Amino acid sequence: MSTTTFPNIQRTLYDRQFRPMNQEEMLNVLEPHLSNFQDVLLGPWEDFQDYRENDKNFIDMKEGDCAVWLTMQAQIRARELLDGKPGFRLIDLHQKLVIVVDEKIAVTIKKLTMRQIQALDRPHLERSNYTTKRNVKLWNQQRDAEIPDFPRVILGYQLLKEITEIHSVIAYCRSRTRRVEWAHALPLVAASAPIGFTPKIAATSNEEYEDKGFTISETDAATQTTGTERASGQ
Amino acid sequence: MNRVNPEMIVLARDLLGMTQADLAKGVALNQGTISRYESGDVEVPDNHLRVIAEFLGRPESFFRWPDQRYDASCMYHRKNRRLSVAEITVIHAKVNLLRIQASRLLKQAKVTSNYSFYRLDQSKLGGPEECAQRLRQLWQLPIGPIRNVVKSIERAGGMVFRCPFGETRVDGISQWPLDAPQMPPIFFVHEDVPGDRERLTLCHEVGHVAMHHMPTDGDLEDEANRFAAEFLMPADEIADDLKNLTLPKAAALKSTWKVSMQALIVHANRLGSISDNQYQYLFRQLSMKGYRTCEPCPIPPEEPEMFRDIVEFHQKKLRWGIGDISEFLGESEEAFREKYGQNFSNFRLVG
Repeated sequence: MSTTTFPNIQRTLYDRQFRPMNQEEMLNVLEPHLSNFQDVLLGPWEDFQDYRENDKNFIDMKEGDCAVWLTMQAQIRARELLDGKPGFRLIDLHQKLVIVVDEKIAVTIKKLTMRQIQALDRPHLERSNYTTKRNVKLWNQQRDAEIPDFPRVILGYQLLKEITEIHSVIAYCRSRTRRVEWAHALPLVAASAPIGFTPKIAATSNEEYEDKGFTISETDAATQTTGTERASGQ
Repeated sequence: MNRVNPEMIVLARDLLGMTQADLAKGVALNQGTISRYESGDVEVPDNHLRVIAEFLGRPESFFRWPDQRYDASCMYHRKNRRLSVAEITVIHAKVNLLRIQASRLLKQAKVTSNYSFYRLDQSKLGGPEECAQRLRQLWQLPIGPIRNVVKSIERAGGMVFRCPFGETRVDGISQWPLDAPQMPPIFFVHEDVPGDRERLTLCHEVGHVAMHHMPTDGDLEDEANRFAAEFLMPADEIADDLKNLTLPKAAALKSTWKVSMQALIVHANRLGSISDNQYQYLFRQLSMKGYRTCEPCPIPPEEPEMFRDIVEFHQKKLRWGIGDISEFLGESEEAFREKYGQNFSNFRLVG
């Protein structure tokens, strides 16, 4: 008589998918590096604002184009800042930079968008990937030979107020949808880390060298007006 | 000693927003007596002048100044709601006081500027837009956005004050009396307006001052608006940028041209860069996102320097003490310190 053995479904599922991680667990690993991540985003953001003020090509860019530029620059900046630094390992995977932190977590830079599908829905953050098989696996925290074998997290940014403000977060996804499960806001601090070489737009203002355009000198009346004459009102 | 100038009693009373009856009650006189003093029919006795001065918080010398007030007909307003007579009276009084104080200080201090203000003839030049282009040429402003409107006005000899107009929504007032050629044009902007609105308001007022010294057939406010738009955003230079205007693009252009997104949308529609439908759609979007009241990408206000420099000139070069200056400006020393700061290091005009 043959016996049928049923596979342990739960175990198999966990073999193929990393277990869920809450915010606290994830931040325990990432906390010491958050200022680095902030620099990775804010440096390019400051450059972007300069360009958008001065370069006509940037003025016409739509949000998606801006995100492509910003993500690319943030990746370049991450390489400059983090390559060779203890605790970081940088991997290029499918033309995307993956930052492996302490050999525990894989971080990817992405733009996120706040969405509210229906009026009664709570607004939530979403990625904007195409739902390809690989993407679904990646953000559903599934294990696969083609993707980094660590729990994945997003170093995300939102472009707000008509692309005049940025909000950066550490976000975690674990579903087959684009929805983010939780997001931790990064504090807004100015970029502090030194950069290698970033071409800057030439300063257009030479205000400090500018004179006021008027001079003030004494009139004849000034020499004549003294003491109590001033107050008497003439 | 000069005789009492009835105009100054009215001015001091208006500054406090009082009626003749209020003043009469405060100084224990008849309203009829105050009325006669203010009309100049009767000389003000010294003892009455003393109590009036004390009650109105001005030195007695203030009431002997020979200056005159200018009424609303000499002033242009940029406002966004109808004002009551009482509100506008207080504002006019504040503006008149500042103008008189400036003219008193200019008796000792001569301001020589690199450029000048001009009274332009719209009918000869063709319209407000042409006047704006002409003034840009005369002031030798470079192509592109005007870096600092306040500075440009001061370079042309105009004087700008940021002063409180209270809760009333008067954005700006200007004065360039025809009968006082030695006085520069003076501009007053609400101290609480953001930088983009301050710039547009000032250019609107420059338009009034430059164009409206003679009667015109058109709507004065519309002409001043068109002048301001062309002065800040010359059509030749901005028209291409305004095509396919969206809110993110307007926000980007705002930081470049330092004008509000709303002004950009209105200008784009006026120039034909966007259709009426697009214009309406963009304004609906602005309303929906709350940008009609608070736009993204705030522009910092521009600070005037000329009046501060003139007061400093009196203090440092002419060696006047604060007591001298405050009395000369018809303020008590405490009021002067409160308004202009302890030692001018933090000088900001607030009243």
